[in-house]
Amino acid sequence: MQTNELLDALALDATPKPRSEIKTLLAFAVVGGLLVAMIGVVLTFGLRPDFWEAVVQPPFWIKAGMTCATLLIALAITSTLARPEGKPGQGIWLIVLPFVIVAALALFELSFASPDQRMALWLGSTGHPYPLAISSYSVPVFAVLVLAMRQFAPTRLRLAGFAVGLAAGAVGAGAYVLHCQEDSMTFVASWYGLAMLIPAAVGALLGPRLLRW
Amino acid sequence: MLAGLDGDAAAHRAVLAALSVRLRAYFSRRMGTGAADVEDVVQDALIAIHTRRTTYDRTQPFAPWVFAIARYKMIDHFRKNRIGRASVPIDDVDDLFTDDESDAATAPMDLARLLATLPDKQRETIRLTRIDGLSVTEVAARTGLSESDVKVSVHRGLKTLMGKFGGGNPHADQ
Repeated sequence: MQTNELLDALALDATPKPRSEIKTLLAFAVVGGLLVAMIGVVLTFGLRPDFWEAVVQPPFWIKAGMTCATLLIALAITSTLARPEGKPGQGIWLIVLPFVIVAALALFELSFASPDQRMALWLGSTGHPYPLAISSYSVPVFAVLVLAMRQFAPTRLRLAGFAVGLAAGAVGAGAYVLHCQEDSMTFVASWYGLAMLIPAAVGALLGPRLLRW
Repeated sequence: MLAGLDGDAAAHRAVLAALSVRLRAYFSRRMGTGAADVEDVVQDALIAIHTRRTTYDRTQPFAPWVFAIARYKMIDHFRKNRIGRASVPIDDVDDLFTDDESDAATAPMDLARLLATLPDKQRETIRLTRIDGLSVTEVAARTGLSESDVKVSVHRGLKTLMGKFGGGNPHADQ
């Protein structure tokens, strides 16, 4: 085909485009994914039995805050990287902030605990921590975010995959807050952190493959 | 570009036409290959600019966006071609062992040789749609290309073949 014919064909297809398609699509993907993950957590693990007491306590909101902050920062990076010329810039380091704050709270908590309490603070009191199970609630939103990103034009595929994975991980961990009865900061810093970083690592690993266009 | 984003076809065509000139210069300077190769990447980039125009942020400068896409498509082209060259010798070995006396054997061989003259994307899309008989949608799903990209590649490839071997309308058989 001659380039001129191609130009004619493309001009025929010049439908109007909305201004903020990237942000709208990502927002829909995340809200939908969060609802699915929350329903999933409630149906499988169940709401924590003391939910209505816990909801007025700080640990609940620290967990919700950590996952929400991670989600919002990861989404901001994702929407920047959805554009071909998008560079993450200095702002990308904001992403460590939720992790650092919770880690600081955990160290503070550990410094006041007796040595034999520390293990319980770390592993929790309701059995084994399951970071992989928490991560599994990220799978639907991860898939939807990848599909959304494929409509766009990311050029830094590994970093974009990481950002998508981290956003998905934050959604999964955020939904798990509904069930999680562990209120120790040490537990949250370790296992919530891990549960969000596993999907992020998967995203970074698969990004170049999944996000190609 | 802004008028094009709002659906003005004439403005959209004018922008793409102007860009094709800039892109041709950009790629010829960097690729160091033949004009046909450059033109392929120009067309790939134009298609990408068109299909992904929603990712252009109207508050940002236009050129960095365009050349980010151009650069990505150029790298993509290099990668595809490297993979393509590495796989060619295996096809040739197969051809060497086919029975020359038999028409049934030489027909696919000629076909393979003809197709081998095309760029990888065109060869693959033609093979999948015209020889394996898949639909454009299936090919798009299998190769990860967009549907319009598949259609354009097939059309472009057939046109090249027709131009080389006798002319005529490539879609006369439809």
